[in-house]
Amino acid sequence: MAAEKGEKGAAAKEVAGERMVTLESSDGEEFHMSEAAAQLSTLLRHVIEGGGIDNGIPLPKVAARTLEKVIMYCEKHAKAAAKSDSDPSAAAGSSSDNTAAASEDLEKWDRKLVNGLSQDALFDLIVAADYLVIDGLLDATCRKVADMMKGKTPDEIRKIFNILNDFTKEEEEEMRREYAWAFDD
Amino acid sequence: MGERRPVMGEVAALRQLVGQVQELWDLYGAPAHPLPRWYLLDFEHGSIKDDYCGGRTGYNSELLKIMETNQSPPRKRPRRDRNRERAPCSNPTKVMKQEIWREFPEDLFETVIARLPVAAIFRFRTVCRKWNSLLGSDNFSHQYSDVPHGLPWFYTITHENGNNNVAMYDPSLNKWHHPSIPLAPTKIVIPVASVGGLVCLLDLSHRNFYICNPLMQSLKEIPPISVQAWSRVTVGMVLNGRNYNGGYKVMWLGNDGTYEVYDSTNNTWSCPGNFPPSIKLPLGLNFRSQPVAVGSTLYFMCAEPDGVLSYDVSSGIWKQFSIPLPLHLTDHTLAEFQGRVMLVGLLCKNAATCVCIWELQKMTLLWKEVDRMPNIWCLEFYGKHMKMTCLGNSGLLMLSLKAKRMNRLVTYNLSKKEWQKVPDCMLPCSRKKQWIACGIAFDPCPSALA
Repeated sequence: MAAEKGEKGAAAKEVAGERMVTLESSDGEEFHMSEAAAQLSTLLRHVIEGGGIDNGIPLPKVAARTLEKVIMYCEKHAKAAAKSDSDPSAAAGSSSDNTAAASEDLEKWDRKLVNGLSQDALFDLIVAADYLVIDGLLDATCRKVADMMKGKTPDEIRKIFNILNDFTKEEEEEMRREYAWAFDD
Repeated sequence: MGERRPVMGEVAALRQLVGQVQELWDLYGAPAHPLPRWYLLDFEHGSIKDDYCGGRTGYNSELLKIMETNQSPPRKRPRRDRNRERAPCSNPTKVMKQEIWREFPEDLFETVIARLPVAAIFRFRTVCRKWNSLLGSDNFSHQYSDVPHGLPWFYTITHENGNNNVAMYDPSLNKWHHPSIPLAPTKIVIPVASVGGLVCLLDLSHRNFYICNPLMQSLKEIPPISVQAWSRVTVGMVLNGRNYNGGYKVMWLGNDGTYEVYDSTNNTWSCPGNFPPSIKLPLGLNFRSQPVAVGSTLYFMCAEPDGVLSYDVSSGIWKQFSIPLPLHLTDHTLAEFQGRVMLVGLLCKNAATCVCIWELQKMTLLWKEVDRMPNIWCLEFYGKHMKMTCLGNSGLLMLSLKAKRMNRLVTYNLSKKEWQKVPDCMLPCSRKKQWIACGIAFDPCPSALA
């Protein structure tokens, strides 16, 4: 089972024609993921290309329940990308309606994924997406947090994120005057 | 004594409506007919969605659908509630648990905040000093411009009481804001162009231009133009690069072919070259139509001959296109959508008025109709003398429609082909409804600096 010189590391094993990657969560659980899906993570992509990992890639910063969601996201997006690549009309650029509908469906799927998370799980998923450098997942999760924040007052924001208000009263009032239009609700 | 003639207007409109429904029942008795074009009338949100299911069968067909959906009288909720509903979040405001979020990594705040609505970004500048400097930083502005944001806003100025009254419309929340301009009230200005989050204002003496970011209180006066005597000019604005960081250019053009271009990178006006002698003067510029920018090219609407004049600001090349106008057209202006040049105007035929949208067919240089305002809205204007002003000309249009004792503001989304009513704009601390007829669209950018 020694890796050949050109092959991308022994962690990439073939399963039913698709190369798989093994990942280990912080709590010791083993997960399998297609290499195509793993490519969505810049971090994993570098690890795989670097080679030399025999028994899977350890991810001490990602718990099992979070890793599960990460893999779900990556597999879904990798499949969607493969589908649009193999679609000849998409290549010809003619059926922009199909690609627009497909990407809208994908966005809906993303929203459903993040909406179904508890605040705890959402937090962990953001941290994982940042650590693994998965741009699309980071975007979707951060949008969700922004959505939760947008109706809050600055004071509520300070309480939520435990931030100290280091403005003087005068400074704060001056800023409120300067951006008065944003406060008129 | 002569016969009393029936009152035109409402009765005629009703008659027309009944006649059309009659035709409809005659034509479309069976549902086996291929899908006609139809509209969903959403009374609660005051919008009409156009679902173009292929095969245009004329706009009589939508009346049937409207009659069907309009079974019960529409219930109008107070505007405050309607505005709240418009917010695109899927969950109601959640309590965010401090025990979780106090651990949020600092370096991810920018990423989250870049995805907030613009008004929230400005509110949160007051959270703490760190956030204030973060949200004003170059790094944040790059993050913000990398995230796709929603529809452009509209920046309008009315001049009631001899002041500049600014009103800014956010179409995603259906909300009017009232920022102020740091200008002396004696300087009456109008917005003439915008690009990359920046708006160009023109002093009515037609000599002074100001550039500002409408969301912030700062304003920059650019050097006045060298030309003394002023006739009307048309003004366009383009970016040098991908965003405001690379600078911008402002151009004015007169009917006599005189023009100048301002480059923000060297803060000077210059005339890059002579006006090509092959183009007939005077130009017959349509001053009611804002120039349209596609990349570095500006398109101007002209008459004699009817058509479009284009100027590429980077190459300095002028081109003239002769394009015949549709018949019975008034109040027409240019617009742009995804790089395609469009035309918006009023079609007036036999007392019936309709707002129509055309797209320029580049191969044939002809205007082809691609949409029109739903019939049921046009009926409101039946028999009346209408005037239309088009604010904003890219992606989302705001149309100010005025007739005797009536004015309406609607937006038209070129991408979704969606028509929406715009809530009345009231002057702050006043019950007076503003009539909006002068303004431009702009992309709200929290950090664009003139």
